[in-house]
Amino acid sequence: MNQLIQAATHGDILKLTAPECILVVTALVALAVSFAFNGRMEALRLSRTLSWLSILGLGLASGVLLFNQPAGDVLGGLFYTNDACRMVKLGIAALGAASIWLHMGNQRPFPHQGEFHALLLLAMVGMFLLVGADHLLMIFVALELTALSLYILTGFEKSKPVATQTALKYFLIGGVSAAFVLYGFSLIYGMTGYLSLSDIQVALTGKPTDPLLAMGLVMSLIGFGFKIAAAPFHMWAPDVYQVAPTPVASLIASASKVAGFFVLGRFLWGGFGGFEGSIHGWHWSAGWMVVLGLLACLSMIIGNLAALKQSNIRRLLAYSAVAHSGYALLGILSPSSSGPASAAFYMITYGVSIIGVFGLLHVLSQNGQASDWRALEGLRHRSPWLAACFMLLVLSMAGIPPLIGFLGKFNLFISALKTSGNPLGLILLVALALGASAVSLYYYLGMLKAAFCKDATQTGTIEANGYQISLIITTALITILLGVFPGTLLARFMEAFAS
Amino acid sequence: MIGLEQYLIVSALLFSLGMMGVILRRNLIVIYMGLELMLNAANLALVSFSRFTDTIDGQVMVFFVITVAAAEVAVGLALIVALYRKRQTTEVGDLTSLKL
Repeated sequence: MNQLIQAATHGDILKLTAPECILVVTALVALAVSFAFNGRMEALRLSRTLSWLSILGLGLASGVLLFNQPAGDVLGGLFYTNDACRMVKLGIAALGAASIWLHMGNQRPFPHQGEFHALLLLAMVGMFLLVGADHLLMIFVALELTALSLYILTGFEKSKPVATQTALKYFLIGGVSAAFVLYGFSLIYGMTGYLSLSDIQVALTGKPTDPLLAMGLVMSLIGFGFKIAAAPFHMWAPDVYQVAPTPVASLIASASKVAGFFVLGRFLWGGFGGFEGSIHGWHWSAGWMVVLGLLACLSMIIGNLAALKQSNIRRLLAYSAVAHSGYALLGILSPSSSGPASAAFYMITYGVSIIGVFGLLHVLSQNGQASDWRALEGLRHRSPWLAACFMLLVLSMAGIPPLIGFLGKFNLFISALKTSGNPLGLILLVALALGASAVSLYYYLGMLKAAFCKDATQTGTIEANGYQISLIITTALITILLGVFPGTLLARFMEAFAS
Repeated sequence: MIGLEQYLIVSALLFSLGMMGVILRRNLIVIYMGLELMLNAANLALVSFSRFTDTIDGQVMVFFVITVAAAEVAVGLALIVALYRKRQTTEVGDLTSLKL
């Protein structure tokens, strides 16, 4: 299982990229099935069949990842796999499967289900490739594959009045950021002569910082900032979270961000390990740490403050997601291997809780309520079980022990604080993050207050089908069970990233 | 003698022009043209770096970028057409139903 393959033949390449290949084939099969049965099968049944098919594909891919995946790389680092990649890909596959599960709760599926599932799967392929990329070309292509699929998916419900407009906004902002990434990559290539990250690392050791190289680095960081929705590149997030179909919004909020964080860590530490600069004491030296620290700082402040005044819950979640990106950037900033490990762990567990909350919002909007604060009012009377799950999920996002959100944050902050020499900049950032979490309690608890203390404006129990209930209950159970018994999973994460 | 610097200056100019187009113009199609200009500026930089550092990687990357840009055209124009069908406009000034 752990033999190292330097892929030379097509067989080797196929072995290393088996999960991605399975997903691509599943996407094509989904298209073929919808083409063959469209009109001959009832829409709901067709949609469910396609969802089961996609989940099956994701399951197969996860099985390969779990049991039969060798480590190695293809064509000198164009694509690589190791334990850390596998863990993160498993997380992404789980989050993607949960998003599709969420889609299965849809009683009235919108048209073009085949394309919808194929695009979801292709977006997941893009994320998988992003996780396995060790090469600027591959990073760019994978980023675009993910993004292009997500643009279409965002505007998929064309009957919604603002769907296309939101997709276009997402597309334009994303396109500009892609151009920035590409220009940055071209400068990096020009200054080093290499596109592969490990070659760049070698070429750069012991060289002084070139201004053009620094520019290239900053321009690429702008693009990555867009991907992980870090302030000030988060402008697309609130609209997309609000308007995109719920499964798509939850995929963008969870899996796509996990992949973004992983590749950001890989890009910075694997390619520019000597260029981090420092944020020690008051004498900061130039490097990407300063830029990233600034992004983290802005994300935490802007995300939390903007979330305070939102009336739409989905927009509120988007701004709070910006703040969460800010916390997770602390993990990328800490030089030990436990930093990126805890960032990835944090984003995956955060993804679990946000998918649960999206599931609940979807149930509420199916019951005829817009997703503003009033939708939550009296949830306790209308459905005690859903209200209890909602409480667990929201408290986990707020970081209350013993839930998983607390543990994830705790790990992030500890890994930032354990950095040798205790750089003052990092300590200040952790202090800011603690303050920001306290601010975030205001709106998280506000949501709970609406659900538990206010009387219902609407009466009657909440209708939800088995798919939705099982998703919400499972995510809530995961937040509490992982929070109480995190041991093995967390340890495996740390171990995988350490090697 | 035209050297690397001249190519880079042209590509930086193209990139800035594209960026200005995206920020200043009010028609979605023109904005989109600005976006393409930015991508092609990066392509020019990649090719000239490839030529002057005597490596082939940059040129290979440009092929991929051109392909990706073509895919982006497909998605972008499809979105613009879908929007036009719904709202009969391609001016961003008319699209105000999304607040910040």
